[in-house]
Amino acid sequence: MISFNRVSKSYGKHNKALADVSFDVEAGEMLFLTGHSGAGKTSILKLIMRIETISYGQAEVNGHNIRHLSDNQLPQYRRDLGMIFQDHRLLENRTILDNVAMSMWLRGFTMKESRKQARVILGQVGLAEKTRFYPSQLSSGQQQRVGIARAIISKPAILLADEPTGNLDPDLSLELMDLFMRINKNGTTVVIASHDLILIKRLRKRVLVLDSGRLIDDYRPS
Amino acid sequence: MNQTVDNQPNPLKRWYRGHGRAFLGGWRMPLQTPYSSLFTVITLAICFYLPLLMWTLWQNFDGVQQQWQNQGSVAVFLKPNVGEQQRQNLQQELLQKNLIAAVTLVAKQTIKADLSDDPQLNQVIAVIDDYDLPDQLMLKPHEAATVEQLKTLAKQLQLHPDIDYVSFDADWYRQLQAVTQALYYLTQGSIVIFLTIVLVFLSHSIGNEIAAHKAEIGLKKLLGASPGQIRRRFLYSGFYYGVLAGLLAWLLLVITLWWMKKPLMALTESFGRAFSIHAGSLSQWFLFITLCALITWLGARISSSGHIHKL
Repeated sequence: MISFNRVSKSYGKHNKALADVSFDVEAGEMLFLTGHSGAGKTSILKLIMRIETISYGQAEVNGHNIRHLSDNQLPQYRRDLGMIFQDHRLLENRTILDNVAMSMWLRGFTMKESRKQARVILGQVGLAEKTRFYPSQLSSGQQQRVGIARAIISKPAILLADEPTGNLDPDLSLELMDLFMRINKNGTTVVIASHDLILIKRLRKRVLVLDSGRLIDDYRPS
Repeated sequence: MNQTVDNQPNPLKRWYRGHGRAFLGGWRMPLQTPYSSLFTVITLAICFYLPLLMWTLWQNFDGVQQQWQNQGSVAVFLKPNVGEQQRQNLQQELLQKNLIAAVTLVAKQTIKADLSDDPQLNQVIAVIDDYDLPDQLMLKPHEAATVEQLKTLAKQLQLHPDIDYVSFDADWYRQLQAVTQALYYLTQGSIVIFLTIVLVFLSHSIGNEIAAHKAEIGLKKLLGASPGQIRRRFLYSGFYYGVLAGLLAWLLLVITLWWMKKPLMALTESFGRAFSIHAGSLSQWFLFITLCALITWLGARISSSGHIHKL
């Protein structure tokens, strides 16, 4: 599903975000990317989303060579991915229902169909009563769940999450992880960038450990 | 966790649904910033109005030129010793010519009476009252006759033994033609200049709107929106700006023509012609507003493509 082969990413001559990173992720797998700040976790997610381009090496995601993905292929490629951002990236001037439905109507569904499906997904993340609220009226944990609902509404093949529990208390973090586990059980490949080692240990999933842009460990629980 | 988004709509459905949403979204966007949108529409309207005014004036002058060319006449002054029979023979001879549609005799008494009625010339006539004016034949040219053909005819008639003098004053016509021509070139030049202003101004306005929606555009890109999907709403906005600016330009033109009606009538009446200026037919207006909408759509297309690509 995801294959990185000696991938490097540089910003200028002396700023190397990733160096010779290689790993493979099977379809339906769930794994964590961990490491200190600046280790390269977010860079890997950005490369998979093609927000950034690879400097050296090759990477294949969902059957696409992302190094040679053209601008015309990019929208279709991204429609098979779901991304959850640390800062949620919700549109403040839209209700949470429309924030979630947007992902559907961009794929050509009617507003009615999109909103109907958004209600179903918001119900599954525990926000059925908040559909008419605006993002600023929700707590950080609730906003994160809206971001998750938006990412999963279109049933992506791969779900990427960048520090999804960054601003949440331990109980909410566990609740959120439970949500990711359920999504993964439905066959979605889930890649989570997190530095919350306690949480990662509790979930006993595969962990890629990064340090200064290098992959230093690929831990697979027995 | 049930994820049930299957049966993705086909590309055609995606396309028209996307346009349907952009059609409404394109209206909503200018309404979110009403004052700045109004300023944009007024500026665009002025840019459309000025070349439109020149074009309308040129069209009307051209029409007048054609009209005056067809209504022009040749005055033939006979020699004093030409008798009644000779004059009738000459009239018949002139009527045989293809370029002449009618020949009318203007008797010397009529000429004197006309001159006496003229407030500027009546005093002169009083002085030269005893002067024996010649009879005059007014030749009405055929509709198809050109100025050049009439000038040649006038030269030929000048050689006739019974004719004293032939008057075909083409200078005023040439002057009118030169003014019309100058107006035509001025219109062309102004169209180029004002179109450039429209494109630059629209690029700036659309650029500002894109900057104001930067976060939304960035998010849509990450959610898999194509550049076309993102651009569409701005293109509809450009289209609406063009329609509104075109309508406002038309309104300004109608007001201007109404304002100019009296002085123009006075001017044309001083030339002895009744003339009213026209603002164009309904189909011309439809074409003009369509053109305005296409120009602003094109401006929005160029501008949005550049700005969205940069985000």
